[in-house]
Amino acid sequence: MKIVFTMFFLAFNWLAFSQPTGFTKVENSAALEKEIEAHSAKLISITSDFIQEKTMAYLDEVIVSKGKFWYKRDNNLRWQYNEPFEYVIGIKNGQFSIKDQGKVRVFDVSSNPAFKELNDLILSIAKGNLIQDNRFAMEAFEDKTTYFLKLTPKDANMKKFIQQTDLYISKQDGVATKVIMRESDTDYTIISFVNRHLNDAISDTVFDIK
Amino acid sequence: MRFLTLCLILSSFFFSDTFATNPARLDEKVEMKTVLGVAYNSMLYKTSISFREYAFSGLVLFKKQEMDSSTHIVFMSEFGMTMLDIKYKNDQFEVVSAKEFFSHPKLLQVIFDDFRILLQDLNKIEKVRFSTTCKEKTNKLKFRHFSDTFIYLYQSDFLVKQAKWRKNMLRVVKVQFERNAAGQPQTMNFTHRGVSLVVNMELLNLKE
Repeated sequence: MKIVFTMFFLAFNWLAFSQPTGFTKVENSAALEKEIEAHSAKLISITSDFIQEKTMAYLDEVIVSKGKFWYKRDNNLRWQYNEPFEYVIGIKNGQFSIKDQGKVRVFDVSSNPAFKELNDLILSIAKGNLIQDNRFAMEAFEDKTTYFLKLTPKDANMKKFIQQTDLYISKQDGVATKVIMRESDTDYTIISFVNRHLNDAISDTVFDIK
Repeated sequence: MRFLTLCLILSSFFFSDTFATNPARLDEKVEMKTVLGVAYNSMLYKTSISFREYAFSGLVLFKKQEMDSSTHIVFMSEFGMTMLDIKYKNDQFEVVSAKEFFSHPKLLQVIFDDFRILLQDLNKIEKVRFSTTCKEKTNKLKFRHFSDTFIYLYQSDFLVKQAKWRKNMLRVVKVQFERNAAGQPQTMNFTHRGVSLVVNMELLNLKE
């Protein structure tokens, strides 16, 4: 009886993990890719607030940070934490800048592979086009309003940091509404994008980190 | 030689006006207190580390676990990525999880030594010495533990304002505390003798 119960429990968990509740599998991933590409081609800018919730379930602790981000085509990004600390990451003209406690440090993306990787990853998350990133194995699901992409890193080194990334993309505009970065089953970070504005005019000076 | 001994004895009287080696006085003076000096369930610090020309930043969480009477110290990036989780329990540190860079034994030992200054369970200490300096009426708690020397300076109610840990002449760590109106350690700055390693921590949030 115990074995049957355990098998049932494991099978249920596997099902729950493999297919999120309320979502069905997208069979034609090529069409989905095309759809997201088409949205991406129309995207000029994004302005959005974000709420980041770092959950350590094994410690019963959630750390909430809030901020704002700006993206402007092609590769300009400002990711700014306002609460409970101030910290800004900026990407502009191949330069990666970090402002922390009033000090600005600038890194050349092209000369530093680690920053190039981080640069590409942040931009892909912001634009919602991680789907085209072949460093990840992808499974796609959908409900009425949202695509849910389950991205698993192929690279063993990357897997040490992130077990899985869940990306929720609005069907209406093709842009990410939520990202969940799972380090383990009990340790993950949810970033929710709220008050999103697409294709508003953004001054280039927003991306100057001073 | 006798003159030198006499000088040392006299100078110790000059710098301290009380002296004790009675363990009972630890309970009496720092009853139910910790070096951090406040009751908390969790404390979150913004942390910056500079080592030579390198600079790192992130968050450090102190989290008490009633279940097993442990305290976790979790290092994470601003993006939320857990880099290191260590646990202080039964007067020992152990690694819960560590990303590659943090799993270096020498680095872990530095981290254990630094955080022992803050988390040392004072009930595990058998012999302590108390003294009070004339200058600014600062109290001093000193003890040896695991062959290392620990010194804590405080003015009242065991709210530590400076701590020093010494393994030998070359390995010395100092921590400066600044406390807010509630007595919580608002900033904690670590310096390491002979190594250009500086750690600055600033309190963001405390949950009771």
